Amino acid sequence: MKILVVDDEQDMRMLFEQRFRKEIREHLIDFAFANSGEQALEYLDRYKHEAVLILSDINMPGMTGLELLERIKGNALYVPPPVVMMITAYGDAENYRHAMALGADDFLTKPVDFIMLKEKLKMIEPG
Amino acid sequence: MKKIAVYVMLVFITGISIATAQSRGTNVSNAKAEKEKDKFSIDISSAMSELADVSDYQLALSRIFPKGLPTPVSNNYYPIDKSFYPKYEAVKNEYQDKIAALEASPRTTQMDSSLLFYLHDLVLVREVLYGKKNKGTSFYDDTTATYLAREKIIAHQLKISKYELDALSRLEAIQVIKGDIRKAVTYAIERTELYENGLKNNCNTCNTIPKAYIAVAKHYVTLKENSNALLYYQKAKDHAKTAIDKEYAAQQMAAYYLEVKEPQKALDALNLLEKDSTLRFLAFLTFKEKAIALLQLKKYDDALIYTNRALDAEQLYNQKKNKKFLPSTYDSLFANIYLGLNQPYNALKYSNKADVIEKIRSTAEQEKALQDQKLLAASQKLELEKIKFELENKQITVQAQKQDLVNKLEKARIKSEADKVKLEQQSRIALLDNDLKQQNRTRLILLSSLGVLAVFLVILFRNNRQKKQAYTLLNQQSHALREQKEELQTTLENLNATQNKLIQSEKLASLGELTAGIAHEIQNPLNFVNNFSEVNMELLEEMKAEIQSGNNEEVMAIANNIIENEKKISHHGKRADSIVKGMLQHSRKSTGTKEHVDLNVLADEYLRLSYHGLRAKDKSFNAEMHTDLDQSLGTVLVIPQDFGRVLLNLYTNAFYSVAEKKKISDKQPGKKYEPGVFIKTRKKDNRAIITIRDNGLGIPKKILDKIFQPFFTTKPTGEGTGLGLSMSYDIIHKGHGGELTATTQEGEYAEFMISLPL
Repeated sequence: MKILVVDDEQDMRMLFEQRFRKEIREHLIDFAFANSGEQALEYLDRYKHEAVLILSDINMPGMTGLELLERIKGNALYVPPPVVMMITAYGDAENYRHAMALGADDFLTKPVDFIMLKEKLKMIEPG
Repeated sequence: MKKIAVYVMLVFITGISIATAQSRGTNVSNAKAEKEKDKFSIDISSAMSELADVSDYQLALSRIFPKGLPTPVSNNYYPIDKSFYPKYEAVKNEYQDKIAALEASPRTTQMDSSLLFYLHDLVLVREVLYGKKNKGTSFYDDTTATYLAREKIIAHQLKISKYELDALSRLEAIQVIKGDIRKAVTYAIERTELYENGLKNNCNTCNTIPKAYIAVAKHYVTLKENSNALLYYQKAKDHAKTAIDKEYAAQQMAAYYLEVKEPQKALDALNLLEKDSTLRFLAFLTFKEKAIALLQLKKYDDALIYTNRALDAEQLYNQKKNKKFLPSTYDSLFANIYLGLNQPYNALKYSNKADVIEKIRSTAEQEKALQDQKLLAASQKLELEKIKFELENKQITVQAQKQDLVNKLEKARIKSEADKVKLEQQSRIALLDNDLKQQNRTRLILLSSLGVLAVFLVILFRNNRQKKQAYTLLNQQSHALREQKEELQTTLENLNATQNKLIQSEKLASLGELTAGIAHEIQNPLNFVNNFSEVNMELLEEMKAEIQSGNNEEVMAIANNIIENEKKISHHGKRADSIVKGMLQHSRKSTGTKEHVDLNVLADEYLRLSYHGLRAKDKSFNAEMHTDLDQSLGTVLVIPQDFGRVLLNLYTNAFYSVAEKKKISDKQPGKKYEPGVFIKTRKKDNRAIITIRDNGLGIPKKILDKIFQPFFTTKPTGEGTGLGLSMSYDIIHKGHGGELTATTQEGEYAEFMISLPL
């Protein structure tokens, strides 16, 4: 399963690689990282949207996570539409409502509970 | 209940009639009219309220259109569909012909009553055709007035009070529109006389009695004949029978007293009412009037109580009537009361803060100047009195000395004369008798002159004592004045304290902006701290297993991982720490001590904070942040809290400006606008330069020289304190000996430059 993590925090890469080291070692999950919404879209276009799951931060300089979500869910070319989970430090109702209205599949808050994240990933069948 | 409904309609129609009369008669501007209304305006044509006899209209309509109404009617008898006007036109012509025929034929009571009905209904029809249709141009024409005059006479002859009252009210209204109040008042008085003589032909739907008296009173107010006005206000009160009438009359009287600035009398008029009850009909007007009277009497605490009562009562009243209620109509009342209570903070809630501050400042300063002047005048007067007093004292002494001299001279003269007499006595014994007589006379003169002297001295002594008393009194007065001055000084100091509080609230406002950003900024490092430490736990478990199986290479690899993770934990822990410190620093009072600070780090940190702060409030907001930081800048000696506040302020302004421009450009399709904020640090000529530039709305030239003034803000009320830039200016100039300057082009950019000596 290919997962694209979008966050402007550079250390997210190392954290995910550590947290999922077993899954990575066993080639169960493949990670790609983008530091902005723009980078994420570029990645999706270049690699023929091979990511089945996108984990995106909301508050980022430039394109926000919500704008990214809107672009992904609104693009008919992405077939099947990738699963998008939002991960944000702003766990307020307004953000949640907005994300859900734009078609987010899930909404997680920072600090990230990786045990729960792994549970959720198990529910998603690899394409 | 039905009576109340009619009453409400009367109040409503009264309102309309004022507006019509004002727009017709005197061309009073709308704003002024609003203002007038706000302070219980003089309702010059309350007579019009008589027109609201609903059942009377319906009766008339069924007479005019026996087969049913030509169209749905609004306002009781005006057709909604204009195409029905020809029908009214036809009725008008028919009635005029019938009236002419009836007038030409010989009189009988029967014919007169049908003449009366025709006249009455014709007036209604003419009003539809020429009145409200041409609203604002001419409510009545002279022909209608002629018919009305006729209606009045015949109704009087037939003793049908309802129609007489109706005609009188309309005639009165016409005079009001024409501006002939003198005539209007005679019609109004005729109405009251009708009431006093007892209404004929059971006019039970006719208006309540006090209304007619109030109408007269108000006309007299317009005519500035206040004693007559008062007479009729009193009559209105005396003739009121029901509780509602009593309250209405009292309210009107109080409104008059408030107008002429006699609040105590207004209160007295209202206090005669039964105990305060919010549930009473239109009680809110009573409460509001009481509040205004108490405010004028400077009994602010009580005024506040009644304002709140009025607010509650009006809310309740409107709720019952399903009417919209605007609490803002109480704003100026509240603001003035709180100003009186010396609570400018609360007054701010109800009024523009600049107004409040200006009001307090100007009154305090004016009063102070006045008192200063008075004090100066008093002390000058005192000085003058003192000099005069001393002068008079001297004069008295001189006078006394002179008198003394005169006395001595006299004595000497008397003595020499006595000697002479003695000599002459010895030589001329024969003349002894004569001389003795003369001596007696001389003694008499001496005695009487001594008496005069004594009286003179007593008068002087009394004058002296009076002077002394006056002097003491003057001293006391000057003391009182000095006390007053000190009191005013305290007021001024309080004002300064208020200003300081406002500055503190500016800090809190910017803290609020920070908080949201901080929440975000803290969750991020926390995410790493929590997760990396959990990873390390797992790694240590794995390491134990590897040690047992003796796999040294793996053990080393895992250990290295753990060390890397620990570094991250420590890094992000410190990051969270510095964020919290920054927040505390910001909210804390400035220590005022300068520290060596890396300006690049500070500039970057606060840029992120303010960006996230703004984002937290407005999710749709976005801006490119460009930083160009001079790494050779090194540390600079600044007061970190204060300097951070300046940065935060300038950043927030920049973001605000680009956000506003974005909102505007989003409404104009085809225009692509990329919001951007640019931060640059430089070391130049032994100075540290920080520039904050945005490509937002820029600053208009005409206000550029005002932006550093306290309380100047272009943001909508409630959004800015107007202290940000003035505080920043003080911090840079006074606190750091630096410079803060602005360059801008309206619509293009704004650039703020901080220059600090190194």
